[in-house]
Amino acid sequence: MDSQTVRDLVMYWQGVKLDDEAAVRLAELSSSVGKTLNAVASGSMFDTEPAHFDRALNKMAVRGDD
Amino acid sequence: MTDPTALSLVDAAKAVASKEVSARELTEACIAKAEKMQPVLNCFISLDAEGALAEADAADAALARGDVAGPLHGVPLAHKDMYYRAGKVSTCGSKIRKDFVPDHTATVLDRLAAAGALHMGGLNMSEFAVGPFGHNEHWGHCHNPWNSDHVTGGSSSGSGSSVGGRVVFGALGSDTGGSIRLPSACCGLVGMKGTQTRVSRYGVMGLSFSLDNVGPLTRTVRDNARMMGIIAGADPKDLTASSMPVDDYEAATLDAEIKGLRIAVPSNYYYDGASDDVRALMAASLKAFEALGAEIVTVEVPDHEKLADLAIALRGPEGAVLHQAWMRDRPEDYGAQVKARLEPGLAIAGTEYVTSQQIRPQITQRFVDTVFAEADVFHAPTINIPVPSIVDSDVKASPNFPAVIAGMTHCTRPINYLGLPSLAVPAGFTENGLPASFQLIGRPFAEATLYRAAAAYEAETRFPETAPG
Repeated sequence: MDSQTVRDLVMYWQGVKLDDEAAVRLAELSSSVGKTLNAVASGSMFDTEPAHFDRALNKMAVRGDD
Repeated sequence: MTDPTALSLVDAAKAVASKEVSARELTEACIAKAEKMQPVLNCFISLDAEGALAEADAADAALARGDVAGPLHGVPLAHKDMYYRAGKVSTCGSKIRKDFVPDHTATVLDRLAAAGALHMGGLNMSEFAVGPFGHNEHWGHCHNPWNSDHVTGGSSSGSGSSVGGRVVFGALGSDTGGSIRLPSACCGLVGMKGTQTRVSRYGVMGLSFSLDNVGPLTRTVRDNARMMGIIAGADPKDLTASSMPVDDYEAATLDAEIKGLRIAVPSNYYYDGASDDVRALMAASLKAFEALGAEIVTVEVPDHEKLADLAIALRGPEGAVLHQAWMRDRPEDYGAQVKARLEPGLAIAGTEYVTSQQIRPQITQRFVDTVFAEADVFHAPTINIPVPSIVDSDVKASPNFPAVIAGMTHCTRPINYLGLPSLAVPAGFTENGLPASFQLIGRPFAEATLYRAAAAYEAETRFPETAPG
């Protein structure tokens, strides 16, 4: 996504005006986040349950070690 | 008693309980110290001397009747100015909220008060808890008690500065990407970011629901364990707070033994860009652990190059939702860098946000399986560079600000996404004379193990005995 598209979308979605530097930064960030998510979650998530991070933490805990 | 402000929190509580010093005397000493140090440190946004003395008199009267409220009876504390107290201004370090008066009180403040703690006022902080150095364009920069030309670390800047400066005995901070551990590291303190969900966030300003944590900054490990033991646990007012039983953290610090404890150190990521003096101090701390009977193992940590993006995919939209109306209607009322750091959330897609949430348990599980199959505790620098000066780090929204911030938060930010407990512990001094720090990271809800390891290290190195000059 180029910086002008980011600027237009942020104005359309959020009503917030970005300056030139911010638009460039957000375009770069958007690209980086997209690549990262593609790398770690490239497959279908159709059969996943909604994430319950608190339950996952409970399962990973080992009680009684202190 | 010569200078009661030099006591640890635990010793101050003991001195009050034994009537060696009254709560009023202790509070007057802290107020005098605060008034003396404020022009140097700028650690308070609001000092409530009158209120603290009234609470101290009530504590003394209760003690005279034989009533001890709890393990912090008569001990003055102060907290980052984002913990709400009904009827009292809570600025959140901002211009936008400079006159905000909440109608409710944070659960953690209620718990500390129920344990007998006194409240000295609201502490300086990065605006809206955004900023790892502790700079604040509205309330003035906070200064490091070890060298006032240097940063305190942020965003809990006043918490680090006031406790490190021996003004108060302990303080609450908050940690979304390192904001308890960074000021602890910069100011020579112990700082706990507990397991995500370990401490209630009711009545606490939010930045990112998924990553925010509440925790204490103190001068000693035992002080920290005492405060954490008081604030941790389920809260009917915050259903995100875990109902997992709270271990006796303070007991874990007493006569702590770590013979046979396995400590993992990273072969990748955490030492990227590390300075030689920090490397040497980390090695020395591991030698101290080995001398105490710990076994050191090396592990390669998974996924770390991706964690910054995964974290921003959570923090960005969550922060942007909270700030959207103000960013639209009064953008000029934000500091330049704070506004620039809130903007990314406006451009992250809903699908990206949900994906980052969905894969978080898998990413954390992979780290736990990799590291804690080999070890009980993970050891890494809290900051892998020397504490920077205010001048060098005050880059505002200049083009290099993302890189400057990334350098400061390199070691802390991944742990927030992983949701794991992390305890920052002093580790000597770098060549510029400022404190260094390592963090001990554990399995979910393994805070007691971290306190035990840190207490053993503290007993060996006696780091709390060195105070700012």
